[in-house]
Amino acid sequence: MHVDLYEKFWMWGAGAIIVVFLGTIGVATVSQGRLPPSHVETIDPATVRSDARFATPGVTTNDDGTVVVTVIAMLFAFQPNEIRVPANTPVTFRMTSTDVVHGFQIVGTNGNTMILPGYVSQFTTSFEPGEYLITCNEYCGLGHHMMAATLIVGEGT
Amino acid sequence: MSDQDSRMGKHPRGTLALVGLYGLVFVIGWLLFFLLIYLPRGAVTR
Repeated sequence: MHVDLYEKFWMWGAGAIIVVFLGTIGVATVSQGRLPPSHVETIDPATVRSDARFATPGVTTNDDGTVVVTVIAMLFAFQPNEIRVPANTPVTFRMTSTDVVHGFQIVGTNGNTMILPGYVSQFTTSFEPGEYLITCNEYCGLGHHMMAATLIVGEGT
Repeated sequence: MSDQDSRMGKHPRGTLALVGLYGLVFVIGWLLFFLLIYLPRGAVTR
């Protein structure tokens, strides 16, 4: 079958782009262990505030030095609104929503997840000292653009 | 009998070049973000 030269350009070009983009997934998976979220934990969104896991949102430092940040996302705010954690220390974020789907992106870092009502989202990462903006990156309603918080990372905080 | 304009007997090389350039810039830009920003940030632990 005769295939025109320019048609070959398109076919090989499209094929190459697919290979490159699929390759990036492989590189990220193999070199850094980037995997889809695996933490599965459910919660009743109607009783989040009375649930022991989210009764006192905020920062908790365990006896072994690990830090856990519990966050409730709601229309249109994060609770707590200001989070202070130590630098270069593993910090585990545990989040849930009382209403609709929200996003939780710590701008300029690798911290980024969806927050779904009925589920507890969780990830662990560490930070360099500084002040970071936390935004909701899932459109959640008319006040979505105002849904933000601050993460302050410093020694001894 | 073909409806094709006889002046369109050849492929439009300029269009191919422009779209190809757009695609090349897009792919290179995407890869620069991937290699210089996304990968250096590392992965979180789930």
